[in-house]
Amino acid sequence: MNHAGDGLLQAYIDGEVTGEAEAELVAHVSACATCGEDLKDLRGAAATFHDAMSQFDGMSAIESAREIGAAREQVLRTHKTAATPISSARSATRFSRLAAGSLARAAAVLLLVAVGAAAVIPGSPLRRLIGRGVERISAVLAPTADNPTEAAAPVAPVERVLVPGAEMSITPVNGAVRVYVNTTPGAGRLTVRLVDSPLATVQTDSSAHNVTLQNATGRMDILNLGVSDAEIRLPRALRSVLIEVNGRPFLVKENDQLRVLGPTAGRNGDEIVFRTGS
Amino acid sequence: MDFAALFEALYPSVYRYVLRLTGDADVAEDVAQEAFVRLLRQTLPEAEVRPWLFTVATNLVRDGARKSERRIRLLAAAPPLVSRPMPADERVEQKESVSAVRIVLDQLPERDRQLLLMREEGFKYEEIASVIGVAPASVGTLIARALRKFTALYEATEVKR
Repeated sequence: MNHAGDGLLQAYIDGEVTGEAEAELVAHVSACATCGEDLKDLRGAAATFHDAMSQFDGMSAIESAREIGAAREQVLRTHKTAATPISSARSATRFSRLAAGSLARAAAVLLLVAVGAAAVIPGSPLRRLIGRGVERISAVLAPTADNPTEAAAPVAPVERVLVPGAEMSITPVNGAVRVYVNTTPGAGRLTVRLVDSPLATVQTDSSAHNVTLQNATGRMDILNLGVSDAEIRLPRALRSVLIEVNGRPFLVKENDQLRVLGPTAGRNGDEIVFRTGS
Repeated sequence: MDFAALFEALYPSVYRYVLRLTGDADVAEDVAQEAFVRLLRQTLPEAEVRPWLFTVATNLVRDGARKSERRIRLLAAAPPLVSRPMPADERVEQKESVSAVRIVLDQLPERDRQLLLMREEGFKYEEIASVIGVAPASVGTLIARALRKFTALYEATEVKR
């Protein structure tokens, strides 16, 4: 027998060589110093890799039944939400309205309906944002010709921040974001500002004790704003933006055009202040 | 086996695979969950479920990697989830080890990473070949080569530390 070669030796280590072939290989390796040495080396390399992986896992392995259970619940919710017909989803109207314009392609609408419905489900995974309040992820500001399927990406995770005064970023999809504000009539102010930063962020003031920010790719829900104020900073380069307060459109941005639809309390350049309770 | 039992048996393995592949706990969670969401839309013989999940997860990671080339994480300073508390000095040491492993894994070609990590999950060569898209007869050679590459890089990193 010629030298066994790494492929055969590795297959032997991994239990892929059986029967007569195994017996022949074992006999050869015990008589051939070169192959014996190669086998030892490969076993050592496999052990090194295994040990390295064990160290790597210690930091963030999913270990407990509770974590697995929570993940399973999330999967079932997402599956159920994604299977909801557009016509029956509460948020479908909002997105249908958008789809009527030139803002979104059908695939993006479908995706965002799914994301939007997922965003209002309580018990979504509380991520590393909690207690810290900020994760900044740069915006994808423009659709890309080289990847037209981007809108069909997996449904984004929902992230929630319950901390008063929290700031949270929104990651646009194909240069578009939607912000939905749920507040109490007769209360609060909403400031919208166009900025040169690549980040789309929402900040609530410190009196917002019950406010919840829920973030999914391309969408932010500000829930229970109450009598508090909120500021939304949007990258000027965004292709399309919709801000809706209690189901009513307040601001639409399409490319360079900014249409103010809600009751304004003031405007100064790129900063627009809305009365959310009117 | 019902979905709950399948999930319990396979989710940790898919999550671990993606975590090792990408080094990002959020991506691992998203991809693993998305793979299971897609599984719910499938009818598969039980024996095919595991390789199918890994194929989907591998493709999702591949697609995600292409997209993330256009994205820059400006701040992701929060530490990854820690499953058990440990003393500060031990934590520092572990973080260093983890980043050394990560650096080495990231230096390997994508296919080598996938081969090694699927082998580590106990897949048979035929299953690995099908997920990665190579001939089953070449898997042993490719794994041996990848293992030698990993060891050389890892030992070099350890010496530097």
